[in-house]
Amino acid sequence: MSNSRLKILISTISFIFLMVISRLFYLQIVIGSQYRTKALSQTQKLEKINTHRGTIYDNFGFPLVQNQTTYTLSIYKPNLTLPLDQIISKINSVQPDFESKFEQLISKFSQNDKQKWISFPQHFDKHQYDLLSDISGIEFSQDQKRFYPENQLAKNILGLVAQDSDGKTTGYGGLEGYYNKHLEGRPGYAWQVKDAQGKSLISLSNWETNPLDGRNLHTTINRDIQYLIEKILKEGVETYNADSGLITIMQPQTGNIIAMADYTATQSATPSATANTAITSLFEPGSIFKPLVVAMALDKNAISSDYICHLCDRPLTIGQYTIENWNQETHPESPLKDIIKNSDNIGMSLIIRQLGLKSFLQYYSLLGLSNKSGIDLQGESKPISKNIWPEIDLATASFGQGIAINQIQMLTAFNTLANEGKLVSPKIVRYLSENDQTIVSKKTPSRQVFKPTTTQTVKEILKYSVENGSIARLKPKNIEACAKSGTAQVAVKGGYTDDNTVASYVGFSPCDTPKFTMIITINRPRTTPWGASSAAPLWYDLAEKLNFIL
Amino acid sequence: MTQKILFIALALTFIIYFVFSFYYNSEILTLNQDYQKYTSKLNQIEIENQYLQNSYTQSISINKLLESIDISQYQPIQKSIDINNDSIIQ
Repeated sequence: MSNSRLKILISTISFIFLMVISRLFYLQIVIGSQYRTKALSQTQKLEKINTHRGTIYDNFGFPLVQNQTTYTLSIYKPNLTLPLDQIISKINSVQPDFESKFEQLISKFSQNDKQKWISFPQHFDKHQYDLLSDISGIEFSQDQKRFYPENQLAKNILGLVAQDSDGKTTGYGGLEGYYNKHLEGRPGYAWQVKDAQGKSLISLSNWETNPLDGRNLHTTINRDIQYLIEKILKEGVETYNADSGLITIMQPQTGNIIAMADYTATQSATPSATANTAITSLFEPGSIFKPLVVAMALDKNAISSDYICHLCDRPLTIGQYTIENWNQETHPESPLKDIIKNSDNIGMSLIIRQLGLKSFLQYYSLLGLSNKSGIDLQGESKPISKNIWPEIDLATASFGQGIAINQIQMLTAFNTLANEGKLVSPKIVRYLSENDQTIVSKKTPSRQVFKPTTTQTVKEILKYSVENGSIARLKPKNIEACAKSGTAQVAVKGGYTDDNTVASYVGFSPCDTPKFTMIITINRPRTTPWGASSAAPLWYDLAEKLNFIL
Repeated sequence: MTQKILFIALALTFIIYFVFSFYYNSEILTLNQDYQKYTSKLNQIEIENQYLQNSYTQSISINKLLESIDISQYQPIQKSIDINNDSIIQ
């Protein structure tokens, strides 16, 4: 080989090497970061590890809500080994309404050859998945949804889970909404090397942060009693041809809510109907408020237990308004216990006048009626507060008209009479747990509102009222109760109508060491407008059963 | 002679390296297959466990119990026993 040829060969090889090195420099140094990112995305993946939402238990540890794995079905045409109509028939044999439900979607999918893939917005359970998962062309993706072993039981307390505008699973209403942060947990993440099919490979570069499952809620709800009150409330609303009804039962000493039912005659049967008007709706309590005003007056020494109403022989006139009793009768020289027994509006108006506005508002606030009750359910409404109190408003407040509170507030306030004058906040969750360990133990706030001697006097009045009033004939002989009925007219366009009432009955049993405090509210009963003849019979029916169960 | 020894040494090193790599890679492949198999199995067991739990709780729910028991034949409880006093309360 001549010297010149050798030089050409060396130059050519050097040039080619230079080209290769230049290209490598460009690929690895100049745009190297782009390729590194691309390579990482093809060989490694960051996966979100979903958590399990916490379970909600009743007070005996029975799950009221837990999780269920569901499957969403998709069909991929290129993988089908059978005609599409046969595949649809097979799905329909497992899920009978499938073909009719997705008739249009299926028709479009079968006619459009360009559409290779379709996903159906329908949940399949594990059994259905097992039957269909081996069919070629059918794909399933996993999902989690809430499972209710007792179907609709306590749905007003539990709330629901749905996706928010960002597609994130979130709790709405009730316990699901209030405790959402605790229930949802914290997702984990895994960085993994993957093969050509996208499956994870073991590698030293893998890392993982563990997901933290949602915390479990252990509630105070008694499942048997919840079932019982929902059944009795539904029957009651239907019997009295009412619009709706509410029942709430509280443990007097702790404020624990034992059961809480809300039934509307027109409500839909879907689990999404989770209204809980015991906390969201305000109502005028009516005469069930009277024992509280008596307690306020006794506690403040505005009246004594031997108080006699000397002006109860005639209607009371305040400015342009006249206060009368519900049946237009008067009760001359009524002692205090008969004012409650007869549900005497005139007597109550005179008692609150002696108490005075300032003291009334102080007790009103101490009873928690100016603010939310603080119950651990999402959606509680704040009561309406008034700044101006004309004399007539103070008088009507004595018999529970012209004030607006929710049912839980009324129950909590009345419960002070059962609990020796001590107000305990209502609560539904006893504690939260994580991996079988108690992590948050809630302490119930409480405060002394009335002196125990005051509540003892009011108890005696209530007991007398029950034993000697019109209620006595309803009361089973083996039940001792301290209770009061109420019938509030509903304000419509600035006035009141006679045919639209809220009938209530609230009380506790037995009087000295009460096992429960219970309130029943029937909205617009049409067969009888009175609390004593609609809510009270339901109350005693339940009280008799509760005395055995509790 | 030295060249021959060097050649044999290099050849042996190459063969050992080849065998070791082959063995190690097959070990990794086996481990990965096991990993994927057990991960899938674990997932299946978790779902099965959840399904059984749900079936169990549903089967002992009040609604189910009332479906299976004819409560119309039962009498309401009229008496209870006070275990502290060993007496019957009417």
